[in-house]
Amino acid sequence: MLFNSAEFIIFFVVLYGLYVVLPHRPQNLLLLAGSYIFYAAWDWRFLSLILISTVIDYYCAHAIDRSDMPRRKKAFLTVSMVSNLGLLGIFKYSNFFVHSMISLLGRFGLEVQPLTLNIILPMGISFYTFQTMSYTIDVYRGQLKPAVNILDFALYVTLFPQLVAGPIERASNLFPQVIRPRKISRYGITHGAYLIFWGYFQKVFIADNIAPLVEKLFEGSAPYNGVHVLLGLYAFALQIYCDFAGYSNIARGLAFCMGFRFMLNFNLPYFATNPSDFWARWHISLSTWLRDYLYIPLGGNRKGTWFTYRNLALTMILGGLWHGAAWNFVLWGIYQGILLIGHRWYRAVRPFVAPAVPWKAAALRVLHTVAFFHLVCLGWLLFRAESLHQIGAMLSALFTGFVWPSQLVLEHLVAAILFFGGLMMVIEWFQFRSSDLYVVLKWPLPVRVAVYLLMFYGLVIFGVQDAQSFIYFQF
Amino acid sequence: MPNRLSIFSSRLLASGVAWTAAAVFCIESWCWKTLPSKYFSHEVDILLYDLQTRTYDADTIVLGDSVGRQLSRYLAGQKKCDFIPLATNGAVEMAGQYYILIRYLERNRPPSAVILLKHHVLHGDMKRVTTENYLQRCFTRWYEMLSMTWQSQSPSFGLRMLSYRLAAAKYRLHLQKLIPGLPPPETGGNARQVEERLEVLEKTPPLQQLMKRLFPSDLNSISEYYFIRLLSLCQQRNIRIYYIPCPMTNSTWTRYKCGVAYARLVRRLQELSEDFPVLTYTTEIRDYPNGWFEDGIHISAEKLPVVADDYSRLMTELMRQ
Repeated sequence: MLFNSAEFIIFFVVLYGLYVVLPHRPQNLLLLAGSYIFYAAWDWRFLSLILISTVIDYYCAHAIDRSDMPRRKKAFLTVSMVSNLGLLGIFKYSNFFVHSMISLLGRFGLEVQPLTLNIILPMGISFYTFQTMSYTIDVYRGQLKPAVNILDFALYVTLFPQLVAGPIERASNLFPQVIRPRKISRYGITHGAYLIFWGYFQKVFIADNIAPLVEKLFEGSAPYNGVHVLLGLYAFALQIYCDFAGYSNIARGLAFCMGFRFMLNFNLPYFATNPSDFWARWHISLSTWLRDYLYIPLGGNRKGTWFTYRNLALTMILGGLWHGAAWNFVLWGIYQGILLIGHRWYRAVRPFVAPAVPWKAAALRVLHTVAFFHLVCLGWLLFRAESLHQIGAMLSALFTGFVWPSQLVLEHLVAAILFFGGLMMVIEWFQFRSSDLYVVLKWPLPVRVAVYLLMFYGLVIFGVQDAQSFIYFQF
Repeated sequence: MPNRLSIFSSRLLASGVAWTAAAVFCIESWCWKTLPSKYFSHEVDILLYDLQTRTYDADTIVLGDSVGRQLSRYLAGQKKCDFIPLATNGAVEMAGQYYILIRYLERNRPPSAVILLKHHVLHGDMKRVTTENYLQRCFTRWYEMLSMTWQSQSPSFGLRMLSYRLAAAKYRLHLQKLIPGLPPPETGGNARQVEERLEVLEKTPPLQQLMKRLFPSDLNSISEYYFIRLLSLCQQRNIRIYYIPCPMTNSTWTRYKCGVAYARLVRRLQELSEDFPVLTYTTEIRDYPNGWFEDGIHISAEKLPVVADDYSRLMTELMRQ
């Protein structure tokens, strides 16, 4: 059931109608049942994986909490980690590793008959396994008390707005909201409705309209045209951001309306001026998860410069691999790692000093933002490409084949990027300037109405009607 | 206690959503006044617009599909028959035929006869790839939406229809062309659906494919429900209804007459004519050489006069009975 489908709208209206009239405990049961229905609408068989993950982590967390012996605690933590990562490994990475191994052996002249299983990737498995793992680790670290009621814990794992594509909520944030009565306030409904509307606008108006243009570029074959590739990368940058941020905004908006508060997942990422800034703004729930459960346990920046670089590289490579079982995601992770390490090294050698003159400082910031946006786009090429060969061909076109494309291609891409992305760019500029993501709600009434009308008619006239799947569902 | 819904409530007056809703209402009202006469996507749009703005005075009207439209338009143009041709497209199925008659009766005196020139009247369960463009987009009155949603047993079917209550949604493909430089409007939705259906069909095991051919699921379905409603309406208003199946190619007819679908049509029409005495029908489908049809369904322009004359005689004979 996609957020942008008629079935979901009906599902949510019915569920919300019941939700607002029920007291807290029945509300939780309703949400749990609704979340299972939401997931089962995609494929009921994979509910078993969520249930397995839920039961194992619930009991492991209790066993860890009850135990006084560090070795016993560690043993139960290991059980939880192995089962969660095992599920992820089997369903997401097994074919990738088998194929990679066969390919590697083939290079040494060893012919191996491929024994691959036709495994379907369960929707959202990367998200909910990370969520349950963070819970068990937090209990192990003594930062969290385990859930008393398994149904509450099951709701924490499966709460439908964030089940299939995040935000990857921490137990410390979400679990207290599950067990305590929630208040449905006017503030929550107003802000939630705005986020839902904004999220639909990003997904249905921007991302889905840009998608065919990007597909056309990546479905094409070499030789590529450098200008076409560059414009295509701008378009993909817009598409992937609006697709994923749109989903996150709808998820957060739905939660807001029900009295939950989900963490912020995107904070104007294309305004970032450097890699560290970017990862503090892009997919925040994943980057902070990786920081807290991978980078810091590896040693973080506590063991000297080279260890810091190693830890950054490992974290980003695994972060890349989290996105998908393919070499281009590994490359993307390596690229992000190099950017982070390079930036860290450069800042150590030459600390940043902001110019004293305001216009110079502003101009420098714009320059950094534009330059870094192009580095991000280069990363998106690695992320989106269909094959390593395509990456090579497109990179070559970007740097050596910079010729003017046909008038039609140019016109379509430029018009589409400006028309579909224009309103969002303007609004995000104001959000950035005011450091307030809800700045639209504070604008004078006529301006607000004009913006709402533009968004509404954008959706009605240009919104792609056939519900298109969200890109991050495949992760 | 202050009434929060009062239009004088300061909270409501300051609400961007309330003002947006009011603005949408004004824009939509203006759009409904100007757009329908400006943008026609196909013959159903034109017919429904005519029914809403014109009046007719006819003893006989013709409803039907696109082949029925070819024949009735030709005959009306030649003044060989005295009727109003309101046949449109098979994509509107029987639901559309029924609502066209309802809309006709709203502004005109009841005719004494309705001729239904259509291929199989019991075919169609509103799940075709053309359903959205011809039925859901065009028939959006409340009673039409409620009835068709109920019959389709799909809330999303109704929700899609509901979206077409907005003029901007109904004419979106035309409005999209107003923005210069953009790629042509995405009309591939239907093509994609066709591809998907073909893929599903190809994946269907042979035994299931055979069962589907032998027992087509779209018989005795939603179309039959609306055919019965059409008959009831005619009976209530004392309108005679004549059903004449459209012509087929020789080869189609050879296959069709041996099939289960035809046998069930004959049997069901027999039963219905007993329940509804206003119904007169023929099940003798006229067949012509394959070369007389331009695409296997529609009659070629050269042969249209011959076939139309034949049908004119058939209509006259049937109406004399």
